Amino acid sequence: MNINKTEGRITIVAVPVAVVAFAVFSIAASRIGATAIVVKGHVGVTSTGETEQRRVRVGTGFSEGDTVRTEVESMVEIVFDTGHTVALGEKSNVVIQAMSKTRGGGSRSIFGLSVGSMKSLVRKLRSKDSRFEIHTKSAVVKVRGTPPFYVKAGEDGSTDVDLTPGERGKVCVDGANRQVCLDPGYRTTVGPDGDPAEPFAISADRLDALNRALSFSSEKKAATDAQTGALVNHLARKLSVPTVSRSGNDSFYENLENQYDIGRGMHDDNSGSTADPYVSGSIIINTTH
Amino acid sequence: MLRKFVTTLIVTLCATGIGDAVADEKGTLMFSVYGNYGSWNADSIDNSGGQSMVYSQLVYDASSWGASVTMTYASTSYDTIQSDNSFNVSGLTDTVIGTYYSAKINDVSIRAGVDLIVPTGKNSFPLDERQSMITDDVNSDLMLLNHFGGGLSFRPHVIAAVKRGRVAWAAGFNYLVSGSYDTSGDLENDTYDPGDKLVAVISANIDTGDDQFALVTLSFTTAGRDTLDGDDIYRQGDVVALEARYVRNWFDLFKGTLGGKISMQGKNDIVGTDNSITSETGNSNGNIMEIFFSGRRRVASDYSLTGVLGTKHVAANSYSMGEGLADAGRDVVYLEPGLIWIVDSKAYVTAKLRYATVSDYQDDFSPEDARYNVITLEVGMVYSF
Repeated sequence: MNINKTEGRITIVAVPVAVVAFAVFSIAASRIGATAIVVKGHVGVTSTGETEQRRVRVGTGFSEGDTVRTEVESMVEIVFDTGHTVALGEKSNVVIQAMSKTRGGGSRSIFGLSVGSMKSLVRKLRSKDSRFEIHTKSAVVKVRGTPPFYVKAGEDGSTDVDLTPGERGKVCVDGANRQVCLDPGYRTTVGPDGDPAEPFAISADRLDALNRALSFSSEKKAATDAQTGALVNHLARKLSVPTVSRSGNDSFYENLENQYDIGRGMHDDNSGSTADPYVSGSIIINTTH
Repeated sequence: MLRKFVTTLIVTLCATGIGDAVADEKGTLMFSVYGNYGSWNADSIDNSGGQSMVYSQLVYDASSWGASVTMTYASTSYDTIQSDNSFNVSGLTDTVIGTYYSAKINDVSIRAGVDLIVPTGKNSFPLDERQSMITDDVNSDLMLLNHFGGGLSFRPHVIAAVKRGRVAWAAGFNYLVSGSYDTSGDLENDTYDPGDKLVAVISANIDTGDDQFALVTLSFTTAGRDTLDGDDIYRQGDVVALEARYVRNWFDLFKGTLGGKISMQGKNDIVGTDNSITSETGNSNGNIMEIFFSGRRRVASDYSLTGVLGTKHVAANSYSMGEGLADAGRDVVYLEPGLIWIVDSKAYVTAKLRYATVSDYQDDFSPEDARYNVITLEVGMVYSF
C-alpha cells in the first residue's frame, strides 16, 4: 500500500511536472534565438513588462517583444538561428513583434520599425507559412529570401525600401491600397499616408551611401578587401601598363584614370602614369557603374 | 644580379599563378579603342604642331590574373623655330604585352606581373630628323606621346597591400630592363642602351569618413647609366614625388577629387670635359608642383558629365642663362570637360575636350617667352564580351 501511495504521489507530482516541462519545451522549441554579434556605440533593449533599458553588448540575446533602440552613431547587428541577419542603424527603434517557429517547420520574424533604418539579409524561407516582415507606419515590407535590403522609416512616417543588386529575390511592399514588388537593384518610397511608388533603379551613388551607412560585418570585410584591392590597382597603374576596366564593375575613378592612363601612362617614358590628373582608389566596387 | 633575381621570381610567380588560375576562373574579355587628336601653337613665336593617335587595348581579366595587349598608332608633326625642317613621324609605337597574377596570403593582397615592351615603334631617326625634334621638356605638356619607340624591354613589378584600422597600406616596385637600339640607322657605333630603371612606391588609402577617403603616395625613381656604343653617357637624376588626393561625394550625385603633387629630381650625370661621366654642376631638373580638381556629375542613369581643372608649375632649374642648360620653367593651366555614356551593361563611351595654356619662359631652350594653346579631343569606347 505504501507503494501504491508512493506511486500515487509520484503520479500526482509527475503529471504537472510533465505538463510544465512539455510546455516549457514546446515554448523553447518554438522560439528563435537571436544574438548581437556587432555592437557600436550605445544600444539598449527593453523587454516586455520591463521599464528599464538594458545595454546591448556582443552576445546579448533577444526575445519576442523586445524593443531595441540605437543612439546617435550607434548600430547593432543581430544574427538569428534561422540564418537571417539584421543590422539596425543609428537613431532607430524596432520592436521584435514575432520571432518564432511555425508548426509547418517555418519561421515568423516580424519587426515593427517605428523610426530609423534597418538592413536585412533573409535566407530563403523554408515553408509557405514562413514570414519575414518589417512594419513601418506607412508600409509592410515582406520578403521571401533576398539579397540584403534596406528599410528606412522616417520620422514623418515615410518609408524607403531598397533591395540591393543580386541574382534573385523579391521584396514586396504593402501600402494603404496597393502592393509593389521589388526586384534586386530596385527601390521604392512610401509617403506617410500613401502607397508605394513604382519601383525604380537604385543609383550607384545611393548604393554607395547605403553601404557606407549600414553594413554587415561580412560586408565590412569585403569592403576591406576592396580598399586594399583598389590600392593595389592604384599602384599597378603606376608600375605596370594601365588597363581599361569594365563599365559595370569598377568605380568611376578607376574608369577615368584608366582611360587617361592608356593614352598617357604607357608612353610616359615607361615610368607609369605619373602625369595623370585623375584619382583612383575608390573603395567601393560592384556598383552599377 | 638583382635584375636576374627579380625577373626569375616574377616570371615564375606569374607562370605558376596563371597556370592554376586558368583552370579555375572564367574572366572577362574587353576591347577598347580611343581616338585622340591634339593641336598646339604658340602666340609669340612660330612654333606649332599636332598629334593624332588611335590606341587600342585587348584585356583578359580573370580577377586573380590577367593579360593585356596595348597598341598605338600615332602621327606627329610639328615646326619650331629651332629647326628649318619640320618633324614628322607616323606609325606604330611600341606594343606592350602585360600579364599579372594576384593572390591573398592571410590578409595581405599581393600582385606580381611582367610587361613585355616589344619594339614595334620607330626608334631610329636620321640626324636631320633628330635635329628637328623638340629638346625642351615643354613637349610633355604639348603632346601625349613623345617617345616613339625603344628596344625590346621588360618590366616586372610586385605590389603588396594590407589594411590596418582605417588605413590600407601598399608598397610596390617595378624594374625596367631596357633593351638597346640603334638610334640613327645611318650612323655606325651609335647603339644606345638606356639605363635600367627602378621605381618604388608606397601608398596609403585613408578612410576619412562616410563618402570620402584620402590617398597619399610617395614614389622614388632611380635609373642606371645610359650607354652609347658601350660608353657611359648619361644618368637621369633620382626623382622623389609625393601625391595626395582627397576624394568625396561633395553633394548628391557629384563626386570629386582635390589632388596635388610635388616632384623633385636630383642632378643628372653627364659626360664632363674629360669625357668621363660626372654629376652636372647645377641641377637641370626643376621641381614640379601640380594641383587639380576633378569631378563627375551624374545627370541621368546613363550619362555623367566630367570635368578637370588644374594648374602645374615647373620651377626654373639652377642653371643661369647662357650656360646651355638653363630652363626658366613653365606654368600650365588646364580645363577638361567631358562625358561618359553607359551604352549598356557591356559598353561605355567617353569623350573629353582638353584646353591648356602653357607659359614657357625664355631660357637656353626658348629664345623668348612663349604662350602655347593646346587643344586635345579624345573619344573612346570600351566593350566587354
